Amino acid sequence: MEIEASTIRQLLMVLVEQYPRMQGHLDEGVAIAVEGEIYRDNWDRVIPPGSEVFLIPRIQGG
Amino acid sequence: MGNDPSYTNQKFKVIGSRVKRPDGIDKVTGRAKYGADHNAPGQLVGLFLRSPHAHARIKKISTARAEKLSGVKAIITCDDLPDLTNGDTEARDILENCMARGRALYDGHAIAAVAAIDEKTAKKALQLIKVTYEALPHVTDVDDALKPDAPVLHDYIYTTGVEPKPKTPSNLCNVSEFGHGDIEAGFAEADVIVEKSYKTEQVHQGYIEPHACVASVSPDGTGELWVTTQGHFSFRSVCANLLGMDVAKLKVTASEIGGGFGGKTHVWTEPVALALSRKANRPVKVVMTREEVFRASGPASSTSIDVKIGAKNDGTITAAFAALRYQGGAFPGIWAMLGAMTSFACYNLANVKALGYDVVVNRPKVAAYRAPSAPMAAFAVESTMDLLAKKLRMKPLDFRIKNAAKEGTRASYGPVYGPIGIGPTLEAVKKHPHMRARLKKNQGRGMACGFWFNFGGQTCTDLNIATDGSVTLTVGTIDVGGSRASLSLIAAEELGIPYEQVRAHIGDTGSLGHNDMTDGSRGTFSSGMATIFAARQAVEVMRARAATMWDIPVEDVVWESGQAKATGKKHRKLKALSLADIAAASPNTGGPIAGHNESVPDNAGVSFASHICDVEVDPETGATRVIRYTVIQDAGKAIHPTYVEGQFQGGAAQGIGWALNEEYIYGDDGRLQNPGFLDYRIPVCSDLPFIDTQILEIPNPHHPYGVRGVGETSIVPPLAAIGNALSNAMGVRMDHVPMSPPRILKALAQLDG
Repeated sequence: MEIEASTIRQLLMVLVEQYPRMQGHLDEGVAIAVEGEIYRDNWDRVIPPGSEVFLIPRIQGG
Repeated sequence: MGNDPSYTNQKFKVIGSRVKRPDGIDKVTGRAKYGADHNAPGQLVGLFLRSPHAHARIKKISTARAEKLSGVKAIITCDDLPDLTNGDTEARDILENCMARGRALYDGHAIAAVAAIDEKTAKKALQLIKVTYEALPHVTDVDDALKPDAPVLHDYIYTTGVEPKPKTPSNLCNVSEFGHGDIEAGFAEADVIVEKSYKTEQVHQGYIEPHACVASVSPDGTGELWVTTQGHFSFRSVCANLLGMDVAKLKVTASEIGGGFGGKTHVWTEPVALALSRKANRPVKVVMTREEVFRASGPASSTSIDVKIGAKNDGTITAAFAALRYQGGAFPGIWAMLGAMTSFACYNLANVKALGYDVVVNRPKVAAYRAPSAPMAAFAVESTMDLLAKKLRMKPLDFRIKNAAKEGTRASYGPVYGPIGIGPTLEAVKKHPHMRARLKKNQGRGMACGFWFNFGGQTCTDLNIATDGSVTLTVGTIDVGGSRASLSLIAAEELGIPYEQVRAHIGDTGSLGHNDMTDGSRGTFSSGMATIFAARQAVEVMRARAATMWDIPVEDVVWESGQAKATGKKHRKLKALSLADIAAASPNTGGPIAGHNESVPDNAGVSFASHICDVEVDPETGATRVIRYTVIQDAGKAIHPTYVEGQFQGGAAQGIGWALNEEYIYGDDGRLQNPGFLDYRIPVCSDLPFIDTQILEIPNPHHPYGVRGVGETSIVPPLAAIGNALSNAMGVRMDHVPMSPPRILKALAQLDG
């Protein structure tokens, strides 16, 4: 899907607006890969134009 | 430079040196205080009554006789822990795991707890508590739990991740899928396909220090918890949430930690200890026995995994598939999902699909264990890679090099990789003298690769400079592997002072903002970055103080080699001021000098390792001895190489134990048969060779020093490396971990037969 957003925070807001069922996944925790770089908490990260963004589950470590 | 996390290729003075650890003397002389070493005035002893059943309805708990026993100050059941979780299912599961609510879900599940004046009285009270159970059918095996006639643990679990949504509950919590391309088309292109199924048994982290805490709750609603933990801020949040306390009114102090490896990222007894203290109005100390640690803390999943990989005759993999079934104990988890995400992460695959099946069974709630879920997936995938290489008549190492992921590869779990280290670790294997060493009869050599994500998280750090110029560094991430030394090195590097001038501490929850746990190999990455920024802030303060002392503009002051220097000809007579000079003057230049940072470091950088292993098998007893072992891993930048090597060696040692001996053994009655270190055998020094290490340094572009997490990845390859070595030694493929003497003898007998 294509979404207009300049930061991870904006992207997630738009995503939930367009796809309300995504809220459940966000509540469970997600990490956001922007051009292969994985962000879990830094939602102010700027998304460069044309970037590929992947939402992956927020993982646990040991 | 500010707070830019970008890698700068900075030239170091002390980073990379092998300094003495600040906690060393206390630990070797017994001064260090672990979880069980704290005591409070008037403290009581807390003990737990645990279920002897794998699955049972709790019809009645009668505590009347125990309450009348002299010296008993409080008894807790689930009735004393009302559900305040407000729809948060994860928190509710934690609450129910800490104390059974109507049903015992596994052997060892807590049913009640007692606080009494001494252990003898508390034990007697436990005997006086009468519980009426109605035994229910149980299931402990992950494959059995998925059979149509399996007893269903929870009537609320309807499998998610599948369409259409099931109409009946089952033990399958969730199905997750990762991958890309078209695997059917990929397998159609393959010249050779290998397909095989594997099983791995449940293992425990095996930390030497059992869970222990002292809880003290005051009638005014405030409380304190002294505890061994990987994350005291998270423990504070979870405990406060479960008990209806204000987070800020619960102060949690972390003790030294005698190993955690993921098992101390979860609460087990702590909320109950606080509830006991609240009820008794006295401090309560709880120390788990080893048997309780095995039965009622959080081991890793047991698994059942199918793998199918196809390749062209030239060695190019055309398709890869895995179905991974992981049990999470009696509560839903994400363990199979993690296995599915990591399974094929080492390789550059056009067509790949991994399905994770998360399953509940009547076993203790699974917790993270060092690169959680990745070792089992790697065992299955890396064993199949060796099988396929042999069918292709290629060297397994060359087959891996040909298919290794690289910068620009789309990872099997989704994103595209930046600069990564799998290729360099494999090339280092090829060049390593270990690969050319001669082997004798009954010996075999194997190698395998491993992957783990690493992550950052919320971090808050304080750096304070005393008037004598010594520096206190206070961090909120628990030191599980020498991070105080590494972080002190970082502070010394930034300030330009000797390492010995810095003292690092772990602050309690009242002294810093929230810090996420030390997990995901994040301690040195995250607190290291926060320390860099805090130190740079302190440097800015010192520049300003120097300017005040000289009465010149701050713009005319630079910081070089631990000194403030005035620039420009007009200041040439001003002698440089050391950090100590500026600190000594601080009471009259504005007061204390400090640097502070709160941040959420991200992009910890994915991590890869390749291991080489030589084993010798005794064909009469089936016993396997690891005779040589080499770990090659990318560390980004090794701040303190000795501790990086220690992490590599520790992970390998745990993986060797997992591969050869460690196993939860359940009886037909669903009870754990071997909850102790006599019957659950972890490797000791005499079982292991010296584990050689080779640190590769491929800088993480998202850390000023290039640091990547290093703590977890080294446990990922050993299961497969040993399996591959055993296969080469015996001529038979082992598909069930642990590869213990009975299984090896059985495999050898089948070979002979």
